[in-house]
Amino acid sequence: MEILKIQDDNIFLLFHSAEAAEVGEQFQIIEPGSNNGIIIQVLSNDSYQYAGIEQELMQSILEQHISETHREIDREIGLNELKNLKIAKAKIRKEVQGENWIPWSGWIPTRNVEITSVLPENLINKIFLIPSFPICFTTFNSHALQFDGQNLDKVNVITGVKGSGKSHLAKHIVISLSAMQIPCIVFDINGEYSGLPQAITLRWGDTFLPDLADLGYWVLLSIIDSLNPLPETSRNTFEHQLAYHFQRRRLWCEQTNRRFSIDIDFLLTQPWSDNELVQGAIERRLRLVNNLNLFRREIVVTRGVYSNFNEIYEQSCNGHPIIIDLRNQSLKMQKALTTAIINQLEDICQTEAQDGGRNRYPFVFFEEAHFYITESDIMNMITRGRHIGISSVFITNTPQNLPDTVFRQLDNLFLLQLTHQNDIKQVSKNSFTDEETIECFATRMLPTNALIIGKITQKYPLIVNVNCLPESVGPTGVTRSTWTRLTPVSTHANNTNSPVPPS
Amino acid sequence: MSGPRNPLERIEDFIDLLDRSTLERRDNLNLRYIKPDDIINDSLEDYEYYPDEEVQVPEIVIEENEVIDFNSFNNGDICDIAAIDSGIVRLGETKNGLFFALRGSIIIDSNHNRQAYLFRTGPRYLSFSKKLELLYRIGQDLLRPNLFVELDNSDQNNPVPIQVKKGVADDSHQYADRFRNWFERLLQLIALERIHNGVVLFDGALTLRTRDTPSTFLNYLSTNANVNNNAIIAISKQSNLQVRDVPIHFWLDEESHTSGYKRLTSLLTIGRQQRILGNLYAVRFTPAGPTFRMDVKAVDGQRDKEAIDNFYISCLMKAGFPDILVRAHAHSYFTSGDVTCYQSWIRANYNIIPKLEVNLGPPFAPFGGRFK
Repeated sequence: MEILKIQDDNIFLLFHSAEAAEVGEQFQIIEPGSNNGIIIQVLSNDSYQYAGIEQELMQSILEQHISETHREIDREIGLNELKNLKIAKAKIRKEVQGENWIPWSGWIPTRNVEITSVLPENLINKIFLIPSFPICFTTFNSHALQFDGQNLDKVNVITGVKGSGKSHLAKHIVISLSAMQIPCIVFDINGEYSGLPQAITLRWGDTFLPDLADLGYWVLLSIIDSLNPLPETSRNTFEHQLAYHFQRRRLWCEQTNRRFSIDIDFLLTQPWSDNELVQGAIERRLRLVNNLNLFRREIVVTRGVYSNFNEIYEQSCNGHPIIIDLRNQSLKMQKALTTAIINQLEDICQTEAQDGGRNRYPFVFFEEAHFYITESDIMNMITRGRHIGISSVFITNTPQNLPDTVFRQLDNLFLLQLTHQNDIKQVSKNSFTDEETIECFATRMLPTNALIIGKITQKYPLIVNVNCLPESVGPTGVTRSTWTRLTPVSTHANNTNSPVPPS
Repeated sequence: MSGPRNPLERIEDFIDLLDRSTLERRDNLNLRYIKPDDIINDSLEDYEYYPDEEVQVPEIVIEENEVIDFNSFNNGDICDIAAIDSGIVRLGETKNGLFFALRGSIIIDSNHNRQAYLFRTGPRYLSFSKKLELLYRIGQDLLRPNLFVELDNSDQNNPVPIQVKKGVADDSHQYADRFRNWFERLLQLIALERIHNGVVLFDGALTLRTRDTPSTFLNYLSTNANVNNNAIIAISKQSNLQVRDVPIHFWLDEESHTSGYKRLTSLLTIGRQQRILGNLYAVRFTPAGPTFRMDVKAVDGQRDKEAIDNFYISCLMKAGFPDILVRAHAHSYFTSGDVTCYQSWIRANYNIIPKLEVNLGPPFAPFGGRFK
C-alpha cells in the first residue's frame, strides 16, 4: 500500500486487492524515524485507472465478442496483477504526535511512510474515555463499544431509508436509557415500540384518557377544529368562553383545595352564548367529542386506563418507557396530542428543575416528527430544550423534512443507509463532518451497520455494527400483506393460468 | 527439406532456456522509461532503423512500350485467412544483457468463425555472454545454422559455433530483434499449418536473403504453404522500396480514384526479382486509400490474381488496410502498464539494482523532441 496523492484532507492510497482497505477502516501513517503521522479513515474504494487499460479492455471485450481466443504460450507471470490494484480514498481524521492523537493541524507526511491498520481496540482506547454511564448496543470490528449515555444530550437524529434499521437502533437507546431509569417518551406512529419491555403504551381514547385540565383547553379547541369546525362567529365565542370556563373551574378547585380537574360533562352544563344557535352549535360539538371518549370523565369510573400524565411520568422514571401510540389518530389529532404532551413535559421539567426537584429530565423520541409536529415546535424543542432539560431523538427516513436547525444544533447523528442526494445534503449540515464523508458512508452502509458521529464518539465518524435486540423485544412493526395468505406458486408443466389455491 | 521440429515446442524450449539464465552478479539495471500514454512495439522502430532490410540496387530503364496493367479486384472465392504479427519491447539493460518480452498472434478468420492464438513470452533475460549459443540455436531453426554465427565445420556432423558474425548483434537493439524475427517466422510456420486452401498474411515483405531470414527458410515456408494449398501474401506498411526511382507508394497515383493493384516485378532487374519470393505489387485496398507494397506467392498452379481476389473478398478492410492484420497487431503491442508489470516482475525475481533510463528531456528542454 502506498500513498498515491494527498490533496487537502483527502488521501488516496494505492493498494493491491490482496490487502484490505475496507470502507470505514482506519490506518495509521507514520514517517519512519519520527513519531509523527496521521490517522486516516477509508471512505471509498475505486479501481485504479492506468494508461492503456482502456485499450486492453476494449480489446478483451471485442475479442470475446468476435473471436475465440487461445493462449498457446502464456508466460506473462503477474501481468494481470495490474488489474488488481485499487485506490482507497480516505480522510485525514487525526494527527499523531508520539502516543497522542490530536486534531489534525494540516500537516501531511511524505510518501516515505509506514502504513499500518489501526487495531479496533487501539481506536476505541484513543477515542473513547471511560464512560460514566455506559450504554452498549453496538460493536466495532467485533469489539463491544460502550458509549457514555450523558453524551446523548440533547439533540439526536437517527436517519436512514425505509427498512434500514432506524427503529431497531432507537429501541436500543430506549431500552438502555430506561434501564438507567432515564424517562423516555416515544411518539410512535407505526406501532413499533409497544413491544418494548416494561413499556407503558398510551392510546388516546383507549388506554389513555387524559384529564382535560392537564392538557389545556386549546386541545379541545384543536379537536373540534379538526372534527367539526365551528363557524367563525361561534368559534370566536367558544374560544373565549372556553378559556373563561377553564379559569373559573381552576379558581374553584384552588379555593376548595381540590386538584384542578375539568371534563366535557362540566362544560356541557355551562352557558356559552345568548344566541341559541351558537349555544346549540357548541353543545353539539361538545357532545360529539364526549362521545369519542377522549378525556377522563369524573362520573365514569375506568380501570386500567391512564389519566394523570404526571403519574405516568413517575413510572417512566422507574424504567418504564412511555409509548404514545399515534397510529389510529388523524393528523390533526396527532398534532394536538403531541403538542399537549410536550407542554406537559415542559411543565414537568420546570418542576424537576425547582428546589425539591430531582432533575429527572426526559428523552423524547419522535418517529417521523414532521407528520405531527410543526417546524416551529421542533425549533422550539431544539432551542429551548437545552434550558428546559428535554433531550430529543428524531427518527426519520426523510431528513429533508426536518428543519436545518436540527442538524446545525445536532449533538449526535446515527446514520444508516441513505441514497437520496438531497437527504445526504441535509444530513451533512451538521458540524461534525463533511458531506463527502456522509455521502460515502451512507451509500455504502451494510444492513446492520450504522455511522455514529457526535459527542458520543468525540466527533469521530465510526462505522459500527448494531447488535440484535434482546429476545424479549418483538420485531419491528409487522407489515400486513395480502401475499402472506398465499402459498408460493410453483411452475406447472402445462403452464396453466389457474391460480394456486391458498393453503 | 525439413524444418524446425515443432515450432511451438521450439518457442517453449527457448523460453525455458532463457529461464535458466541468471545474472552473473548483482547488476545495475537501466530500467526503460515509458511515458504513460505510450503504445510500444519496438519492432516497428527496428524496421525503420534497418532500412537495408530491402536492399536498394540501381534499376535498369524499362523500355517505353512496356505496359503496366492496373487490375481491379474481382470476385474471388471466400476462403480462410490467417494473419500473423509480433512485437517486442525492451525493458531494460544491464552491463551483461537485456530484458525483453515478445508477443505474437495468429488471427484466423474462417467461415464466420474467428480464432485468435496468442503467444506471449513474458519478460526474459538475454545474456550477452550467451549470444553465440542463442544465435546459433535460432539460426538452426531458420534452417541456416551459420546465419548469425561462424561455424567450425571440421566435424561435419557436429559443427561448432565459434563466434558471432559482425553486424548481427552489435548492440542490444539488434540482438533482441534477431529473436523477434525468429519468433515471428516460427509463428508464420504454425499459421501455415492451421488453415487450408486459404491465404496467409504476413506483415512485411517476402524478400529472400535478408539479414534476419535466409532464403532457405522462406522457401520452406512456401513449400509448407503449398502442402495446405495456402497462398502467402505479405503487406509491407512502411516500405522504402523504389521502383524506377519512384517510391512504391506513388505507383498507383494515376488510379487514385479506385482500388486495385499493379504488378511491378517486371520492372525489376533479374537480380532483384530473384530476391523476392513470388511477385511484387503496389496495392491500394480502398479508393483514395494508401498504397502499400504487396508480395504474393500463390499456390503452385494458382494465378496471383486468383490468390489476391480470394484474399480481397475474404478480408474486411479498415481505413484502407486489412482488418485482420490490424487485429493481429492489436495483440502484439505493449502498453505502459504492461511494461510496468514486467519491470516489477524483473525487480522482484532478479538480483538487480534498478536505475531509471537517462532522461534527456530536462537538458534539452524546452526544445525536447527526438534526439539523434
